[in-house]
Amino acid sequence: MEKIIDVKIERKESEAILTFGFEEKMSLSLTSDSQDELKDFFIKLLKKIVDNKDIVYKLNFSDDGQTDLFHDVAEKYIKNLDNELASVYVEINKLPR
Amino acid sequence: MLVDLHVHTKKCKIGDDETREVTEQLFSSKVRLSGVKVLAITNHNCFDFEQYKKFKKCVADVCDVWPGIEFDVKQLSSKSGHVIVVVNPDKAEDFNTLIQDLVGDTSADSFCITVDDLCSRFNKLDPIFIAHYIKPKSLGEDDLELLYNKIYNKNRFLKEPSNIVSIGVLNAYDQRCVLGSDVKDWNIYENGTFSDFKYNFKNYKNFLKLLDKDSTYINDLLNQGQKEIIDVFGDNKTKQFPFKIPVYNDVNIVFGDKGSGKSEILVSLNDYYSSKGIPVSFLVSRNNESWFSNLLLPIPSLYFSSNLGCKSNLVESFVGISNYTDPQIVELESYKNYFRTITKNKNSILIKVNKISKINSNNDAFVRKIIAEHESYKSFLSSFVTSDTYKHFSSDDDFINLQKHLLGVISKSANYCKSQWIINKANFLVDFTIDSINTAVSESTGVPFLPTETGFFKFANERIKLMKNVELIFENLNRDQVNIDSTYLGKLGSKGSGSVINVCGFVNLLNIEKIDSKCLKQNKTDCKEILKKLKNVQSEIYTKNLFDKVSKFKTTYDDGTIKSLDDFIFNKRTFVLETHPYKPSAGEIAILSLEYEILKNKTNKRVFLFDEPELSLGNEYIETNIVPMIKDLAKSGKTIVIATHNANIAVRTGAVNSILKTVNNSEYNTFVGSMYTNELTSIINGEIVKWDSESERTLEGGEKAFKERGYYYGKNY
Repeated sequence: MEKIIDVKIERKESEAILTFGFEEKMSLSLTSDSQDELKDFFIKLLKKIVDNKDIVYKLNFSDDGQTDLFHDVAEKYIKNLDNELASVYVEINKLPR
Repeated sequence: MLVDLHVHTKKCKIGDDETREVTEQLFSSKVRLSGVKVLAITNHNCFDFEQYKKFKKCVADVCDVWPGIEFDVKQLSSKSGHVIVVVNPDKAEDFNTLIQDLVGDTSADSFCITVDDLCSRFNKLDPIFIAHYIKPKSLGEDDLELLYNKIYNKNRFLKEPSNIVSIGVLNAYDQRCVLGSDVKDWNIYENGTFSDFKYNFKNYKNFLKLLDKDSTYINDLLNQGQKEIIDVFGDNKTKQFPFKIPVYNDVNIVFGDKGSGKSEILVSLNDYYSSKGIPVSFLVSRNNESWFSNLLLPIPSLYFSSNLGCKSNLVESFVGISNYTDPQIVELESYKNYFRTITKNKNSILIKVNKISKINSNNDAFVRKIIAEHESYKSFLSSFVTSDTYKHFSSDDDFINLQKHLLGVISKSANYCKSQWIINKANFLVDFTIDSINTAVSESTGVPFLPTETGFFKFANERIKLMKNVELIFENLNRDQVNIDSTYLGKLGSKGSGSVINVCGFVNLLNIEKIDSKCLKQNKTDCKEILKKLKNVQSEIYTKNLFDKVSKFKTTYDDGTIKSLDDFIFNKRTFVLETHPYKPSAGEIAILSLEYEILKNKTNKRVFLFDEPELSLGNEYIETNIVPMIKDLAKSGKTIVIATHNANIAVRTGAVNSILKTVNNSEYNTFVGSMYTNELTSIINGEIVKWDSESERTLEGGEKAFKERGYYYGKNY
């Protein structure tokens, strides 16, 4: 089963955060320089994918109509990440059940 | 057939051992243990008829006992000597009467008989006379000659020398001999020396026929053996004129003039048996040196790095070194470009995720490994559950509990695999995100992206990998050589046992100069070249000169034949005596080749062909080692054909069949017959010649040689 996950940009002063529309909110800050935060995000994301093997998540960037750098970068990145996740699903099938 | 015509059962003289006294029970058990089929009781100047009858009866099922006596004899000589008289068992009672009459009340210590009496008093009893010869208590030469001249039938006069070596020489000179045990201690009778007769004569009468060389009787015996008539070539090498010879399933001797075609007969027989699929061992003694050289010939192509305990031939390591290039280093210019343009866009400064340090950790191989291990646990559990294993459990509960436990272990293993996979993939996605956002920022702003790594990690990592590859190759090449196997060749008397030790190892920078080129699998110069270039790579691994060294290694590696550890193999075969390397003489090689061929092939070959096995061997060795080995082969039912010039081999092997080859002015002739009948008949014109005169003429220099050898052995034994 395929499930579309909308990804939006939240802007707060000098911050730009990508929020992923799962049941429980997950976010990735473009303006953070913490490697740990970034790694935690992906561990949480991958765990979700592994625990719900029957669901194939597709990422969809929600365009908020703005034309700043955050928008451009986020759009390109989410597209790339979605492609990358497709290859992740191939590997997941080889994991022990 | 073991025969002992010199047996004491009583202490008759003062000097006789007490242990010559034997009870009926001990006599019976020891005779059975010894395997002797005929024995004669020959006490000193004494015949105990009652004991003779009792002893004859108690072993009647296994051994024939003949009556006899050992006399002190003296007439012309200054001192007495011993002569054994054995008589027809059918006339034992008459023998007893005669002995009682002759000896009377005279003690065994003082009784002595003259040669005249000896030759006249026993004639009616079909006697055999056996004189001590070349040993203590030998008859004086005058009395010996007198006895021989006066004896009623010269064929029934035998000599008893001291040992088997003497007997071989004397027999070869037509001085027929027998060996007796002269038993001194019945407790060890079975260890005594006995005569071993080729034929099983059933009774005393047949034994006399054998002594008289009754050709009808001997031919009857011969014909009982298995015989095959075979076409062979021997008169020339063109193989145009075959002739037929009999070959017995026993010892066959080919002897005769030099150049008369003896070896060609063996070659023909080898072809004949091989064409019939009959396993043949063919030993040509003049080729012994090359036989030995071949044994020491290294065959490095047979061996691989796995023989030396290596898990891999490391071809990937060699290829890795050959194809090595340094990873790209990030140039300082990239940093300069970034900082020159960064201030143009405010948001590009705010985006920081692209400035995080990359993790650069790839554990894909580890994750694959633990997943594979997990799969093997699963398949074990599957086979465990589906097999009959449960039968071994005392209760179903135990079996179910164990299953549950195993399932728990597998579940934990699955979770571990998943968690490790997630961590590994998360690391990847972190680096992916940094690169991806960096590119996106750069594309959107036109600002060159900030390098996320200097490249040093990859650079150092690859050089360390290269160093590990080089070290791995050298570590393996420095392994100790391995003993692959050891081939036992034979014993060189008191010097010890000789073997060929087969070792293999790797050539390396330390040993390559000492190892002979012919021991190497590959060209020695090529090995040296690649080792040298590998060493150069190792010494420059952390310098800027590395690429030059790698490039030179690559050229040699890509163009050459050395591709992996397997190509550094050497194989060495060394002859050792016990444990020390040794260079055997020609004679010792001859000993080894014979022993090895016989020992190696005695179970799997049916036919043995020996061409001049005596070459480089002394007569004593032939007598004590080769002759018994050949006799053993014959006893085990092998067909043995020996081309020889040696009298000991021709006679002492008990050959049932003799083939004489002669050549005179290019006229070839072939005679067949037997030394037992003393006749050899030409297969061309029916001419009959005497075996003894032909053997004297052609074997080891003839009469003179026999006499010289007889003198030599007599003096020494």
